[in-house]
Amino acid sequence: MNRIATMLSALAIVVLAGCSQKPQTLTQTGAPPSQDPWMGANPAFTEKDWKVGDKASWQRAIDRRAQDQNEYVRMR
Amino acid sequence: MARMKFICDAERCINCNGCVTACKNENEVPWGVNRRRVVTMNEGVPGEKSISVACMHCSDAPCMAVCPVSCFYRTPEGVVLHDKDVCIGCGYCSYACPFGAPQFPANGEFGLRGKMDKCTFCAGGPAPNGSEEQFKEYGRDRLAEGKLPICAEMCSTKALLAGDGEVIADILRDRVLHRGSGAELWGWGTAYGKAETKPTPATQPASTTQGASS
Repeated sequence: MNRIATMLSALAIVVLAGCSQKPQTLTQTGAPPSQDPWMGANPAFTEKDWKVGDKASWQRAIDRRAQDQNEYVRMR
Repeated sequence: MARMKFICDAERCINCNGCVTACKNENEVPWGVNRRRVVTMNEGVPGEKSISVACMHCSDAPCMAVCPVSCFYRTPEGVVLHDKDVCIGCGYCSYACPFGAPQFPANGEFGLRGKMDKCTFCAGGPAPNGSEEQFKEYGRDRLAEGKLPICAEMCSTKALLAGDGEVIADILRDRVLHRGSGAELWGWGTAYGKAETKPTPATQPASTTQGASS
């Protein structure tokens, strides 16, 4: 009798395991941890006119590069 | 802090599609997905205008507002990016976007939409800067290399400007002062909000003034 009960409970555990559900809670929303652009990327492709990790120098380099789009400045 | 923006100068765009090609090449964007495209208005009519359109990285991005899984985020530089590991490909963002920026790769079975793909302002995504993982999912991270988006840097007529909003607005202002026309900024008001200043009575059209007086 005990043996049958044990087998049935074991079977119930196996069968009912299929009824379980994975949690569907959204775990990651919004901004994921991401590196700031002034922290640099592949050094082989990185411009040399700013210092990696220095936000101010990156900002200056980007603004200088943006001015390359202005031919009125380039031709002066 | 810089607020990265795009400006397309419709007076200069010659519909060469150089920006589209440069973007596809730099980011290895798959077939069927165009992060950037050139739109021509009044094609064939004298005075037709072309503009290069992509994600404008709006100040108050509608895609961010409608995303049910909040996969979008804005970087401190004002670039709107998204996390493809969170995106469920529902397509709400493509309905919300006034510029048609969100793209979906059509490689799924039974019309299944894949993860959304859009212009990243060449700023990659949430993966580590310059990593292989970042390149495969989002493309090149030129911003972290101290460079601007390839579409703007490759533009032969410099119609497409990218960079800090104040810097590129100054460049356009300089141009408008030199040529004396073409101050219209297509999509600028939609993306970054309209200027607060109201037109003075002297600058209002004559028909409006007449209508108000009658």
